Parts: sequence; structure tokens; C-alpha cells
Amino acid sequence: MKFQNKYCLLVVILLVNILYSQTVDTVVNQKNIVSNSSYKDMKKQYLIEQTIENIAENSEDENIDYTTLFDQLNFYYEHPINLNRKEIKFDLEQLMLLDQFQIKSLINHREKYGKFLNIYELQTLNSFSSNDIRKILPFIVVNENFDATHLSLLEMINKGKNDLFLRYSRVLNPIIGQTQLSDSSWLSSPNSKMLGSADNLYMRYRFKYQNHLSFGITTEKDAGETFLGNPQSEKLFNLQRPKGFDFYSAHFFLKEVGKIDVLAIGDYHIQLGQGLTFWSGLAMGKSSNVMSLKRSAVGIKPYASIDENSFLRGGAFSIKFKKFKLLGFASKKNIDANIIQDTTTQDGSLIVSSFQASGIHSTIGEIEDKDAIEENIIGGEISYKNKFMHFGLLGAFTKYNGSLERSLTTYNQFEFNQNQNFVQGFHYSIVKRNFNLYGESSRSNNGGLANLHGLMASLHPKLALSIFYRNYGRNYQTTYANAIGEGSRPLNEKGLFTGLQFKINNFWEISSYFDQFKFPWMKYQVSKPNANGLDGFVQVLYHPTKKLNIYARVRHRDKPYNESESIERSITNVYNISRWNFRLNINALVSESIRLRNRIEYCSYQRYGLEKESGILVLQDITYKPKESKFSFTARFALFDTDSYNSRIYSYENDVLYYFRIPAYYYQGARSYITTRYQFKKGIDLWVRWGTWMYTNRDNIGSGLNEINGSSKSEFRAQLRVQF
Amino acid sequence: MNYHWIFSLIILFHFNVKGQIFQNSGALSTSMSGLNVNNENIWSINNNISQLAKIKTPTLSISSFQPFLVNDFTTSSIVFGLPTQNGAFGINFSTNGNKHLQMHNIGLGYSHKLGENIQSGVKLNYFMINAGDYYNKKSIISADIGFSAKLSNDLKIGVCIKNPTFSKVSEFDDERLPTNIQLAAGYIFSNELTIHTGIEKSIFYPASFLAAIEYQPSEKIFLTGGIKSNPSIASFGVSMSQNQFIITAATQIHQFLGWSPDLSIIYQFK
Repeated sequence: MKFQNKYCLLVVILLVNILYSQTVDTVVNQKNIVSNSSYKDMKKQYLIEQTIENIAENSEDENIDYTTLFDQLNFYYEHPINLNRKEIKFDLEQLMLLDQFQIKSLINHREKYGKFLNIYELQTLNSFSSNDIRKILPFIVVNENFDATHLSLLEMINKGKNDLFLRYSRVLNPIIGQTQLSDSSWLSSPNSKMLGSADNLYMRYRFKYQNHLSFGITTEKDAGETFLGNPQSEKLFNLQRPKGFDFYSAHFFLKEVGKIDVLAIGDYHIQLGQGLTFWSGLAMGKSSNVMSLKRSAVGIKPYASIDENSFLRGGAFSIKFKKFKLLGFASKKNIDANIIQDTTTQDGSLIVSSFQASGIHSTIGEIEDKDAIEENIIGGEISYKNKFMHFGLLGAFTKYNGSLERSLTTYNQFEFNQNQNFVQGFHYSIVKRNFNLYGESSRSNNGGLANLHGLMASLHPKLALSIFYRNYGRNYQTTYANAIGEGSRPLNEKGLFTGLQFKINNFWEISSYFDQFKFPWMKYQVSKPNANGLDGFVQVLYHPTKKLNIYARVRHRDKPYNESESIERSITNVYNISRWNFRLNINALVSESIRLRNRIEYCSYQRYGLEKESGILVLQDITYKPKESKFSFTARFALFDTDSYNSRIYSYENDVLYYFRIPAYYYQGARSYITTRYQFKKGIDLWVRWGTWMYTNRDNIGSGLNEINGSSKSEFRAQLRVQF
Repeated sequence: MNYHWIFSLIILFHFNVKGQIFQNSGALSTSMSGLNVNNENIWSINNNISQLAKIKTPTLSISSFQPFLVNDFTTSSIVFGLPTQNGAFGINFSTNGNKHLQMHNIGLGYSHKLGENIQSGVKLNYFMINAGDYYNKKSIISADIGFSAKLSNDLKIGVCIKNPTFSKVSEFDDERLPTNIQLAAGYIFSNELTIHTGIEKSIFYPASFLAAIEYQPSEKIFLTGGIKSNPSIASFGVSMSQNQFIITAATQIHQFLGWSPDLSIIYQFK
């Protein structure tokens, strides 16, 4: 009875709320209950979330962190790009909403016809459809005033804004890792229990003045990690841990202040070239926006998210001199790694068997791995940039204070397995009329080479072509690189990607790509060299008005994989796993305050010799955001039915601000959640989210220490933001 | 024993007869193979409560549905809808069964126009199962929620989620009433012709794709037909309107189990 009463009550509350808010008259002269600015603030957050959703909808990575993208869009919403300002190319690229040609045609138009008179002039540009203009409208402005005044550091500190986030999450069902253990059972199996509570706490403070000055602190405690210490573990394992949060991060960032181009102290990201040599942090992969393959590297970026291992800690700077730029960075930080004790050496040097990337330190073993090894990086770039070309020469030296001794077998024999590496690279980009040729070539210390070259061409105002060739050597070794490819790292892959984007008219748009790739050497579960695969995608988009958006997409992937059964002492055959995905999505603004999204997605997974596995997801979202109210919410109800984890379907979920998740839906069951937001007064917002997974054919959910006994899983999250 | 056989058949083919063992969907829905979330008649009380807001006058209807021509499966329902200023109330009562097993259902729903182009609705259902002296009685409460929206001049969509609350039927085996979602889009070609397509997913069973066509050759006659993929069903029906009455006769044809006729009579008060 418990569940259904709760739900029935929720449904009734929902209806009452809807009824209540609709009784407010929509007469024009009605006095507003809420001030204009709080409405604008919610509208802004909503618009930015929509933009990120559009980008995330194409992604299938569960853990991508869009915090920095959100920050960027937030900044441009607050300080819209003035299309009449001299240097706008960099800012327009940072929006991630326009491709190279659209930006170029905008700049060319201004050069030819003079300054923009108003926003509507954008419609005269052939490469901008009404949909494109709608997408960027919140982030641009046309006027004569330039924000040319340069403030001193002190003035910036006075005018800056502060914001503070506090977030709490918890999975409400008891998990195996949280059960009480007796001393003897814990001693016999040290990694079978988590030390801390199941609460997840996050705090972030940030001080910002436009994009010139930023200072922030971030702290986090993951579920299972201990905040106040665990006396039982200290007694049994003689473990001394400092109390407090598990993860701390701080940064200080200056941009274009006086003679300094960029200065970063503390935690930061470095993104250079096309990502083949050095790139830390988020990067876009293949998506329905085929023109976004070419990256525009920012250089130095402040770090403010919570991925605990992939950032740099130290200092970085860049200075400009005419058209040249010099960039340098150094980082020294401890990273998680699994250490083996080596009894043969006398100086007791550390030997690493593997790096850990989860950032979670909840069990004895994970705590022992925490900050186990020191990583030192030093690098730099010299680049030249003018209207048509951009070149850069870069290098980065990495050293670990231990030696890597991973047990390598035939298939991964070329992996990085020493304690230092030096990567060098050269990147270029040449724009001529309606062609953009770009690329990067890199070399690692051991002689491994990697290349990528691409061409983007706007063959017609309605047709754009993108070709991308990559050849990542099997022995190319790098720790901080992130370039387009099938694997998670740019090595051991050769491929040719061709993409086409066709804007039929103002209502219809087709985008498609075809990627053929080959792995020169073996891979995990691919026991033969030169195995090949393909990835094809077609999407048809219909957007007749700004209120309605319908798209259908088909994706087919063929990836090589070892056969499921292999006869002992015989060669393992490699066959392809064939995946098909079909999605139909309708997104409609049906009234001023209500937006509906319906989606049907079907996928199939077939491995040679085994049964075909398929899955289906039907979901319904509703977003309620009334104009004159401090309260808004988004809710979802979805039914999914997949044969297995292999035929899983990913779907982006709305969550509290700055928290982004694209979970996988698999097995058979239902998913529902509701995320609400309430604005107490200007500057103070509270989000509360409650979500639940219900499975019909499972008795337990999850695995390992996170396993839950039961057929449903509920999660609660609350976040408070204070801006002052 | 008689009712063992009925029970097992009900459980086996529960998906096929959907909630129709508990409540009728009306002959128009039967003629469209169950693709009913876009139907705007009085039976929307049971199909997609949000569509009820479109009725203009108080309406009463009765219907009788006999799945597979089996007497013991016959379900009869009566529904009544009362429009209000910005929406409508609806109630329904259904009954089904024989001397060994009776199933009754009462529901009360409210539908509201949220804007010019969107309606939503909520309905509470109260199910009563009386399985005789041995299996006793059981009552279950569940809710339905629905939305319908007009996306453009030609395109409309409807969604109904039945039993999102996973109401429990019994502790044994954690048995629950099926939760169901139906999504449909209707494209209006002209005043005479509308084509519907949709998907229906019950939590326990594979998804089903549906398509239906509505054709009105004259003011008084309305022809409909539909198909469904899982289970494989074809259906058709005829409606005739005269003064304030609308009479609809329809049937579904299942590949193996045969015909399932349905008859509805709707009366619209002035």
C-alpha cells in the first residue's frame, strides 16, 4: 500500500498545483507576484539547459561533465556577444552552437556591409537557418556600445559576483557495502565494506568577474567515503585518515588583465590543437552536428568540476606578442594508482600496476590507492594566428615518481609502461574562402606517431561537407590526449570519417555521417590485427516553428569483437558486433508554461553466433515553467524493456543545476523522476529531485558493493544555490 | 474448475484484453485496435482522461465488449461526463464476471484545459475483485494520468500513463497491476480523414506498434479501422449518429483467438 499511496498523493498534488497556477489570470495588467528579474533568471537557466540537452542528446557517455560548458553558456547569457565588436570569432566558437562557416560568413558579412543594424540582419545570411538563429539568440546582441573599459584588479574584485552551491544526494535503498560487519569478517575481507555513509556531499564556491577573473573552491565527498572517520577501520587496519571531504580543488584564474593574457594558479585544464597531443577535460566526439568535429582549443581553462583525476594542478600562463602566443604550464599532483611492493629494489621505489580513475575512495583498497603516485607535467606551446591561418608547436613532458609495471600481454604490449613520456606535436588550421583544412601530428617519446587531418567545406549555403582522416599509431603513447575516434584514447586506430549536413529548407534538415575504421594492432577482446568496423548515422530534423521540433535518427555500428566461444589452442576468430539504434523524438512547447517531450527508441545488438538482443524505451517528459511563478518542475515517466545490458539505451535526464547524467536504461521496468525548483528570492534557489527505478524481472540491482537487494531503487537529491 | 480456467486465461491474455477486463474502452477504440489516446469522445474517461475536457455537453454512454466471443469475459460499462468551465468531470462504472468471479471498477476523473492547445487529466480507479469464498475479495486503488496536445493545425498527440503507481494486487510474488503507457500521434489530412500511429508499452510485455484510420464519408457515418503488432490484431467499426445519439459497432480479429465484438451507445444531452 505504501508505494501506491505515495504516488497517488503525488499525482493529486501535481494536479492541484496545475489547477492552482492556472487560476491566475492572464490579463495583461495583472500585478505580478514575482519580479521580472527572477523570471528572467529561470528563463535563462532553462534556455541553457535546453542548449546543453541538445548537445547531450547525441552523447552516449554516462559520465560527461558539462559543468564548464554550462559556465560558458551562462557567461554568454549574462554578457551576450556583441556582433559588432571587433574580435568575436573566439567567443562564437565557445558557444558550441555554430560551425566554422557560419562564423566566417557572419564576419565576412560584417566586413562587406558594415556593422550589423539589428538581430534580424542575420536572416540575410544564407548559412543561418531560422533554427540556428533561434539557438544563438539568447547569447548575442547587436549594439554600438563596446565594453572596452579595462578595469584594474581591485575594481574587478569589487564588481565581481559570488555564488555558492551546496548539494546533497543519497540512494535511499540500503546497499551491501553499507552493512555492518563484525571485526573478524572485515579483517578477513578488507574490501567488502565501505567506510563512510551513503551520503554524497558537494560544495562549490566561486567568485567571478565576467571572464576576466575567477576564483573558486570545490569540495566533494562521494557516497561511501568517510567524512568523520571510521573508528572500527582505524582500529582494525591501523588506517589514519584526515577528517573532512575526500576531494578538494581550488583555482585562481586571470584573463586579459593588463599585460597578462591568461594566468592560472591551482587547478586548471589545458586544451591545445585538436586534442591529439595534449587536451584535458571535456571534448565532443562524433555527433549529429557533423560540422563540430573541428575543435577550437581554449588553451588554459579554470577547473571547477569534480572529476578527481584528469585535471592539472600547479600553474599556467600565456602571453601574447603581436600575432604570436606563448603558453606554458606545469603541474604536480598525486593521482590514484595501485601500487605493488617491490622487494627486489633496495630504495623501496614504487611500482604501479594500474591507474585508478573513478575518484572514489570508500574501501580500504581504494583508500590505499589514493594519491599513491606523483605525476609531474611540464609543457608549452608557441603559436601563430592570423585571419587565415593558425599554427602551433607544442610539447609536454610527464614523469611519475614510480615505474609502471603493468602485466602486459600480446594485445596491449605497446601501451605506456615506463615512468616518463615526452609528446611533441604540431597543429594547423587554414581557412580559405569556403574551405577549412586542419590537422595535428604528434609523436611520443618511444617513436610512436599519430596524425589527424580534416577538411570542412561549405559547398553550397545549404550543404556542408566534413571529411576527417586519422591514423593513430599502435605504439603512440599519451596520458592527456582526447581526439576523435572509436577508442577512448587516440591510439591504435585508422579511420576515415565523412559527414554531410543538408539544410533542405527552413523546416527540414538532414545530417548524416559514415565512419570506417580499422585497428592496426589487437585490442582488448579483439585478438587479431587489422580488424575493421563502421559507424553510420542519418538524422532527419523537422522544425516548422520555434515551438515544435521533431527528429528521427538511425545509427548503425559494427565493431570487431572476439567470438563468443573459442576452441582451446586454436586461433580465436574475430567477428563483428552489430548494433542498430532508432530514435523518434518530439519536443513541443504546447503552451506558455508547458513543454512536452515524447521519445521512442529501439535498439538491437547482435553478436555472431548468439541470439539477437533488443531493447525499447518509451518516455514522456513534461516541463512546467509558468511565467509568473517561483516554482517550476520537470518530470519523466518512462517504460523500458531490454533483453540485457548489451541492448541498453541511453537517455539524458534533467537534474539539479550543474549535475548532468545520461544513465543507461536496461532490463525491464519503469523510470520516473521529478526535479523541482523554487526560488525563495532573487539569488536563493532550491532544487529538490526524487527519482526511482522499478524493475519487474530483477531481485537485485547493481553489482559489487553497490548492490541493492530488491526490485526498486530510489534516489534523492537537493541543492541550494546562493548568489551574492 | 470453471474459475481456474478463467483465471489462467485472464492472466495469459491479460495484455491483449488490457484493462478491458476491468473497464471498457468503447467501441470506437476497439475498432482502432486500441489506439485510443487521441480519441475525443466520452470513452476518453477510460482511455485518456485528458481528452475529456473536449466534451461540450453532458454525455452518457454504455458499452458492452465480448472478447473472443467468450461469455465469461463480457465486460459492460457505463460512463458519464460533465463539462465544467475549463474542463470536465467523468465517472465510470464497469462490471465483468460470472457466479465464481466478479470484477468491478469505479473511476472518477477530472480533465482540465491547461492552455489553448493542451489538456491534462487525472483519474482515480477503484477495482474490486470478488473471487468467491476460497480466494475472497480484494480491492485495489490506482491512478491514471494523461496529456493531449495540438502541435500544429494538422498534428495532434496524446499520451496516457495507466497505473504509474504500480498498485499492488497481492503480496504473493509481489503481483502488481500492469503499468501501461500509450503514445499516439494523429495527422489530420482533411475534415474527412485522419491517420493515427502510436506505440503502446505495458511494463510486462513487449512493445506494440499501432496504426489506425478514421474516415467520415458523410455527416452521419463514420468508418474506422486499425491494426496492432503485438499481439497481431486487425479491427474495424462503423459509427452512426442520429440526433443526439451515436451508435458504434466494432470488432477486433485476433489471428488465433477470433472475433471480439463491441457495441457502444452514446447520448449527448443538450
